Amino acid sequence: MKDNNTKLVAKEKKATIDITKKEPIDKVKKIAKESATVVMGKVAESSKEQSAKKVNISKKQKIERTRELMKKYNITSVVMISLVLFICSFIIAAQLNTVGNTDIITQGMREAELLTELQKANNKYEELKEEYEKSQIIVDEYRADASSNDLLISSMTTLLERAEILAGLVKVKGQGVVITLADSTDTNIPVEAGLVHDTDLMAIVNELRAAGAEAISVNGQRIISTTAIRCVGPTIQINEVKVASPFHIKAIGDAKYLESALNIKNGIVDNFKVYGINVEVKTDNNITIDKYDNTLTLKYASEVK
Amino acid sequence: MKKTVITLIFAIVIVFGFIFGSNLEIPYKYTAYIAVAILAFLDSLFGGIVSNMKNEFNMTVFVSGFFVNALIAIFLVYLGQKLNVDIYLAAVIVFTTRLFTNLSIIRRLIIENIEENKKNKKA
Repeated sequence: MKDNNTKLVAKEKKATIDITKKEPIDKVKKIAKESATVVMGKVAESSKEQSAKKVNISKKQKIERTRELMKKYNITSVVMISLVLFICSFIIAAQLNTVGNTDIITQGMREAELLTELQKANNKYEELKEEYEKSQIIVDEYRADASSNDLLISSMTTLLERAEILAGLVKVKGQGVVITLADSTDTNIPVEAGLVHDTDLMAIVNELRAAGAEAISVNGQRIISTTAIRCVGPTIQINEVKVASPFHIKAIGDAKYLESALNIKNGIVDNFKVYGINVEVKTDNNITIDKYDNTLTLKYASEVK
Repeated sequence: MKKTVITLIFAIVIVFGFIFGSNLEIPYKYTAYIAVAILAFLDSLFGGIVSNMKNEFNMTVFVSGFFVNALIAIFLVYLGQKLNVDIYLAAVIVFTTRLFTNLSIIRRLIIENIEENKKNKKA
């Protein structure tokens, strides 16, 4: 037994010497102290000897552990762990941010929860509606008050004029373009392809509107918001009036802009020319466009109040 | 490098992560994926701490586990959505169970350490 112990102590001392080569002085001191206590413990009692041995072994382990930790804390591992921690905290923060910003989390909700959520939304809707109605009444009062105001009346009349021009209810004049479209006279092109179709007119009207035309008419028929252009047998029906080739399309707007919009390379005019349709685009500084002839009646649509 | 310096670096990195992350908003439909990924991250983190305390820490195992676990968890969520079964619940249960186990191991190790220190002082 004693022999064994001395051997152990010797072994341990060897280990401590090994450590002293690398560890700082205070650690060496510590280890020396420990070994001293251990030796003393062994010299003393056999019962204490056992516990001291245990402590001794754990200490040894600890020293080894610290050594290994020292090895582990090199730069690459620090960088890797930092990266991992960064990703972790970054994603957690982003998730918290996202979930916090989302008002209603419907996913994973039960039917009852969704129902209460719906009830809440409905209540809110009712509240807002009431609020809106109240403010609407106030607006109406203001309107009634302001009807005596001259400034308001003049501004209202200008608004009304604008609305009438846009609706096509008045005759208008201004700069713009005049387009003449006629069926093809080229015998090499099939008759069907060389005709001006309703789609052609629609395309040209669409193009003009896209280019900012403010008033358009086709053979005297004002194009308004309810105008339909459709094929009716050999003729085309616009505003329930039949028109036929040649078509004279007048458009008021920025003349240069309108003309270039139509004459653009591979644009609508080039497209017509492929089919042999005779197209002519002229700018004019003084175009007059007639008003919409029929009466405008509304049967179904009414303002929401 | 000293231990305190390293701890400081880690703390700074975490703070920066939070700062950058809180400026980012994930599209809502991806939050289910990210939630499970976060659980996987935490699981690997605590697993790493435990292995470090037990002196079995391996950098490659730790880093690969960190990413692979998260990817598998995300894949499970995706698969669950395709099959209309909440498979992600399995991932959630596994990760949380392991989290608790790891936490209890950490707790035990710390307590053992403290008791040992006390004994040593007495001796």
